Amino acid sequence: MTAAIWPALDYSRVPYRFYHDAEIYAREQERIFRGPVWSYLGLDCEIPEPGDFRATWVGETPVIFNRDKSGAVKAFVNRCAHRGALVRRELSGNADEHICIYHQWCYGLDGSLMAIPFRRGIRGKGGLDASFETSRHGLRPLKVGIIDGAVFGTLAEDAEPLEDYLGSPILAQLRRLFDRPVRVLGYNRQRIRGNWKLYAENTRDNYHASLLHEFLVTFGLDRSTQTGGVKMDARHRHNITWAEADSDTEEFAHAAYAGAGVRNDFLSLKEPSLVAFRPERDDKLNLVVTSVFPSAVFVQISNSLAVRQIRPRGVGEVEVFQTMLGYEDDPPEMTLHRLRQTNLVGPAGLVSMEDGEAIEIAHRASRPDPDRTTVIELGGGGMISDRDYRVTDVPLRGFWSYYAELMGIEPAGAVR
Amino acid sequence: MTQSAAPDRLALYDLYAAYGALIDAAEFDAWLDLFAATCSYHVLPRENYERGLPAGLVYCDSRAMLEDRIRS
Repeated sequence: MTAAIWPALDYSRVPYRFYHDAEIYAREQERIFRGPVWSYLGLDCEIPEPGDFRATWVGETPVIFNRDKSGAVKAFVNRCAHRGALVRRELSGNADEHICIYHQWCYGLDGSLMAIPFRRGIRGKGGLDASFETSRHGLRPLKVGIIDGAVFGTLAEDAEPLEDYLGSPILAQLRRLFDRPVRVLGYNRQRIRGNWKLYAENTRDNYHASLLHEFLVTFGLDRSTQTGGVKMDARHRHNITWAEADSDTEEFAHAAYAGAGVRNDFLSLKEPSLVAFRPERDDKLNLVVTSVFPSAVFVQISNSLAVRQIRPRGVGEVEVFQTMLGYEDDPPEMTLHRLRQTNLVGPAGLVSMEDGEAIEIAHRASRPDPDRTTVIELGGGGMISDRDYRVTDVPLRGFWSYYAELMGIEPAGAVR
Repeated sequence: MTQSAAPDRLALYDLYAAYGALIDAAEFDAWLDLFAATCSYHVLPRENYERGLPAGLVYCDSRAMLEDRIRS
């Protein structure tokens, strides 16, 4: 695979091969997920006490993050230095050390190798040579960065600082979402039989939201007639899709969507709180989807708040792991409101369910023709830049531009 | 088990049987009629249940919400 794979220098054409080729997938694991990116690991509030740990993933690499005795968050690859086995098999817990079940090798909360059974053998026979250096056989560490309680990690020693990687618009959105301490309301998992990049594109695709999701249009949760747009970091690898509440009228929206052949007037709700938006800040944003390259999505849909972690599971499958959030100081009534709105997201979500289906049919139908391409031209081709309108998919081209750079297949003269 | 509880028990068996049969037959309107106006219907992943976390896959706290879920 070389830079010649791209039919267009503005990434407006992406060969289907990228969704189906096992060699490309293996290279992504190496160059992207184990490369100079920062991956979302979890939340500071999930491991409040020393010894608290959670298992997570960076691409297909299993990872543990925990709080050590000094209160610092540490992360390392969840794989025993001895035989390569998963050390922690639980999703979460509290412990003083991590012990591999296979041969009981024992690691500290900083990932260092602390103890090896029968290290000196039995009665002087067997065991490891005296020259074996335990200090060289710890769990492989990740560098950790935290933005107001959101924990990120990277496997690359030469990764740029997290704040620089995110860039100021993304940083500002994370600081907005985490402006008060959060608490976890629950987790859900969505297994989608499609390539992980179809999901990464989906979260950057403004254009689909109100056409695929009739529910959003009907109840004004997300309509292209709203004031809104897309905002990216300087490298265009991340994206914020945003929209403001009550910024269009019912009449204008219904007329616009009738023209697009979308029905939006036949549904009504017996319990309208499902879609009621209660402003929580002095901005009017009721939709903010912040996609952080490669695998994190921070989502506010109305008052439902969540972080989604994209976990590739082979070239043809992805798990979307979603952490649903509220704020620690939410009164019980607000928690109830957020719980009601969790019905919008997740594998049975009134919105997210449809994304899963859209990704699966795109994956399935594109497979036989690796040299045919998608078309990414809403909002025009050419330059990749922020837009203050909603009928656009320009952030997808930003995703592919940075993807090409990391994969070592960026063509000369390509847009960035 | 007291004697007086037996009719209640039979009524419960009937309710569960109707509940299952109506779901199998996808007769959701009739299924909905089995619920009181104030009710709870939660589908909770084991992961959340074990950790005492309230959010799940479906969270309805009234028959009206449940009806919206079916219609949407």
